[in-house]
Amino acid sequence: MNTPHVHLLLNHVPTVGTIIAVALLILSFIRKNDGLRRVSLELFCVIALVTLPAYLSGLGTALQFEQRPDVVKAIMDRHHDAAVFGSIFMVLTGGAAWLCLWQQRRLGRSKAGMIGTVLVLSVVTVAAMARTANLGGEIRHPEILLDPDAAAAATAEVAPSFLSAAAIAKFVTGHTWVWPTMEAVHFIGLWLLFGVVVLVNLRMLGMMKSASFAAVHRLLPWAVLGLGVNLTTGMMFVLGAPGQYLENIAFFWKMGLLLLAGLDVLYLTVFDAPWAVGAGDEAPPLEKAMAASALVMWVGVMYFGRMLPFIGNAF
Amino acid sequence: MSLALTVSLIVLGVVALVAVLGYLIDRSAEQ
Amino acid sequence: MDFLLRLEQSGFATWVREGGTIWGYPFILFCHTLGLGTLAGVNGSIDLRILGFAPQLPLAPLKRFFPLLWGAFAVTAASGTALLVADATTKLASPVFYVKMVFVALAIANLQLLKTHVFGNPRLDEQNLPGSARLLAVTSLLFWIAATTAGRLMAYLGPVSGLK
Repeated sequence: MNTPHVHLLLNHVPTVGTIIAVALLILSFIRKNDGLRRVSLELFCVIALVTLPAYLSGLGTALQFEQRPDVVKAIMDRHHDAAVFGSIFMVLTGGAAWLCLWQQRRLGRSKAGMIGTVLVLSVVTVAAMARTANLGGEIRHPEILLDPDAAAAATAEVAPSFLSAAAIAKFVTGHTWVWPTMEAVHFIGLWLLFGVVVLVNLRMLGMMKSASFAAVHRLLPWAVLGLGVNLTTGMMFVLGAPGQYLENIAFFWKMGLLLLAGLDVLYLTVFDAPWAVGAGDEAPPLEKAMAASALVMWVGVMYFGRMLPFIGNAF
Repeated sequence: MSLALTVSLIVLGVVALVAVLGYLIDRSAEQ
Repeated sequence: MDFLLRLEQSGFATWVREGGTIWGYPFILFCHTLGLGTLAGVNGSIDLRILGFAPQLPLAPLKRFFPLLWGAFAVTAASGTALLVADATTKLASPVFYVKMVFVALAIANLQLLKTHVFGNPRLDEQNLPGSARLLAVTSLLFWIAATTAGRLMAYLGPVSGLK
C-alpha cells in the first residue's frame, strides 16, 4: 500500500464520517436520546484523530505527484488549501466534542452551549470537507469536470488566503523568529501534556491510591490543551518543511503512536471502567495494562519526535 | 526586535491563552 | 578555554558527538527530553493543583511524586552534562546557556521550597492553602517555561556549533 492509496482510503473518514456523525447528532436531538448523542460526540473525536493521517497522506501524495505531467498542480493546490481549512475545523469540532464528553462524564449531562458549538462547528466542517472532496476529485477524475480548462485556470480562493498551505509555509519559513518560537511552544506543550498523562496513568498503576480517578480526570483538559498546542505547532512545522517529515520513517511512527495515545485519552474520558476506580481502589488489571501501554506510547511519541533529525537521515 | 525578545513575548502570549482556556474549561466542570 | 577544549576532546565527549551510533548524541538528547518532560510536566501538574484546578485531588498524596521528580532531575542533569561536555567550548561561551541554567536553578529551588513549605505541612488537606503556596506554583510554572524557551533558543542565539 503506497501513500496515495492510504490517502484514498482514509479520506473517506473526514468526509463520509462527519456526515454520519452530524446526522446522528441531529437525530439525538429529535429522539432526545443521550446514548445517540454520546456516540456522535465520540465519533467526532475519533474522526478528528484519523483526519491527521488522512491529511498527512494527502500531503505525502502531493509531494510525490508534484512533478507528474498528468496532474495539474493548480488543482492539487486548491484541494490542499481546502483540506487545510477543513482539517482545522475538523480538529476544532473534535476538541469541542471531547469537551462535551468530559463535561458529560463529570456533570452527568453536557452543557447546551457546548453542544451547540459542536453542532455549528461540525456543519461547517461537513461543508468544508465536501468542498475538499470535490476539489480532490478534480485532480484525477476529469470526467466529473463540466469545464476542464476552467478548473485548471480557476483562481478564486477556496479558503481565507492567510490559511492557505502556501501562506502558512511562507509565514513559517519567511521570518527567522517563527521556527524557534514554534519549537519552544512545542516543548512547553509537550511537558504540559506529559505531566498530566503521567499523573493520570500512574494513579491507574497504583500511585496516590487515596485519590479517586475522577479527581485526576479533572486535569485531562490541560493535557488536551497541550496536545492542541502541539498539533498546531506540529502542523506549522510540516507545512513549512514537508519533505523533512513526510519522507521520514520516524515521523510515521510518531504519528501512529500519537493516534493510539489519543484514542487512549478518549477512552479515559468516557469509559465507565476507569471512572469507577474510586478513592482507595486498586484498578483492575485491564486498566493497569492500558495505563502502562499509554505511558509507553507517549514516551514513544517523544522518542520518535526527538529522533526525527537522526533516524530520518539514516534512511 | 531581538530574536529572544520576540520568541519570549509570543511564548508568553500562547501561555496566557492556554491559561485562560484552561481556567474557563475547568470552571465549566463546576456545578 | 584550554580546559574546555580538553573536555570537549576527551574520549567520552568525542564518542557522544561523533560516535555515529544512535545511542550517543541522539539518545542522550532523548533522555534529556524525557527527563524535562517528566520533571517540568509533573511539577507543572502539581502547580496546577495548588492553583486550585482539580480541587478533589488531595494534596498530601502528591508528595509521593517527589522521588520521581528528583529522579527525572538526575536524568536531565546527567544527560545535560553529557551534552555540555560534547560541546563545551561553544555552550559555555553562550549567554543563553547561562540564562537557561539560572532558570533551571530557580525552578529546582522553587520545587524544594514547595516540598518544605507546602508539602511539609502534615495538615495540608485540612486547611486552606496559604497565598505563598499559590505564588510558588505560579513562579514554578514561569521558571520552567523560561528554562524551556532558553533551552530551545540555545540552538539559535550566541555561538552555535553544528550540534542541535
